[in-house]
Amino acid sequence: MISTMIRGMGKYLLERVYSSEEIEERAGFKRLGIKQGLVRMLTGCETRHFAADDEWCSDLAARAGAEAIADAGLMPSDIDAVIFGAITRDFAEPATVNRVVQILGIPNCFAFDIFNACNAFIGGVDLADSLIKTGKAENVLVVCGAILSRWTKFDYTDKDELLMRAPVSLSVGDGGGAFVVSKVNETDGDSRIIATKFKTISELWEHGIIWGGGVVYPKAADKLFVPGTVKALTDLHPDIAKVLVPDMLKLTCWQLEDVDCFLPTQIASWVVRNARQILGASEEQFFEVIKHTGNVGACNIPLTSCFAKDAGKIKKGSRIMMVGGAAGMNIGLVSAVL
Amino acid sequence: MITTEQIKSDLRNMLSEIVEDDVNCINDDDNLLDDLGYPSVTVIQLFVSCQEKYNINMQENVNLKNDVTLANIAALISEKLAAQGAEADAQEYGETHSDGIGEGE
Repeated sequence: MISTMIRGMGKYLLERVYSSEEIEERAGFKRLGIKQGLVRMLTGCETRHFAADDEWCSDLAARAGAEAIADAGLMPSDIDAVIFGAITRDFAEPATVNRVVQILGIPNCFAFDIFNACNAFIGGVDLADSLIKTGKAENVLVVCGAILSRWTKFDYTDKDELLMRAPVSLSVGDGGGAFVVSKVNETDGDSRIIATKFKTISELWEHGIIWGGGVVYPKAADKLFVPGTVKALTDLHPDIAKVLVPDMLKLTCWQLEDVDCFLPTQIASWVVRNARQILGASEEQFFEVIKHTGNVGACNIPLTSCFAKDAGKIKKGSRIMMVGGAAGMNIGLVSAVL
Repeated sequence: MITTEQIKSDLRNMLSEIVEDDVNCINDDDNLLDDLGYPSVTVIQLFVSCQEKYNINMQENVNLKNDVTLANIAALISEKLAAQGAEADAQEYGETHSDGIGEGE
């Protein structure tokens, strides 16, 4: 039986940093008579990084990918497959991953994009796990490049619309993240992706829609923005904590206290805090980055993982559980020993 | 020391400004979200106003799944102000008595 592991991780953050107050001002808070501080209060986001005008999703993904390949101790020629999993992309066609592969100089691989809102990246990790287990690859690079700042609406003229959308939609940021998922060798010890579990609740598909960018509104650039209307999705977090995470623990044969670090998606600090309290986990078992990076969409989980590693919260042998939630609505969980 | 009743009165004034409506008919124990149907952003605006008015950190107490009532928000603010007062007292005591520490050694 083939096993897989996360062999390397990489991240890329941009130079330009904006405070939540700067972003609120840009969106018209003062102009429309709204007291500033809503983004920080609701989401916990204080700053976020924005890409430069000449940076593309593929640039961010490639930077993070290069770091992940180096962290894995591999060369680009060792990579058999590359998956780009994100919300934003460079263009409608071809797949953004092609440019990532070219930048990284990966000579012999197959590559493709996958999309599933904020779960696109961990969906890519799940797919990488399957490709390796079915013998189609040995080392798969999963990359994400999020430039949500370009899909952020700033030209508000209506106070009510700004209030409805702002706290969540203005918390987004840009960044790149990557994992190398590999076949486990004899020298890798206990490192394993132990279980993956994904669930789709399709009756909630009409919440948090980015209407632009598809065939429904093929020419409407003004519909291409993060809507911020995600209440129905965040309302589900207690159920994730009460039901899905405990199910995943059973599937992994772990007790709650066995988890060294939960790496959740980063939609709002209070959501993570409440989920942790419902679950009964300790503060030390959770890691968050939204305060400094904002909500980076599908890149939340790889970025959180990398920062947790940099902070010494996770290392080789750590037992981690990634918990993703995405518009759709989709929930994804991945448990692993690093 | 500001009383809980005064805080609740302040909360009504702030909420009235936010929703641009009379809120005197709201009961102390009405849930602003579930019972009264205010959007969550209204509660967040109220928290921002409280933070400014009382110079306390409310961010760590945001939980839209809690029972968000005027009574509960007032109790939280009262608790925070009392903690702030105790901290200030301790600091003042420390400053007043620090000169004597170590004397006679």
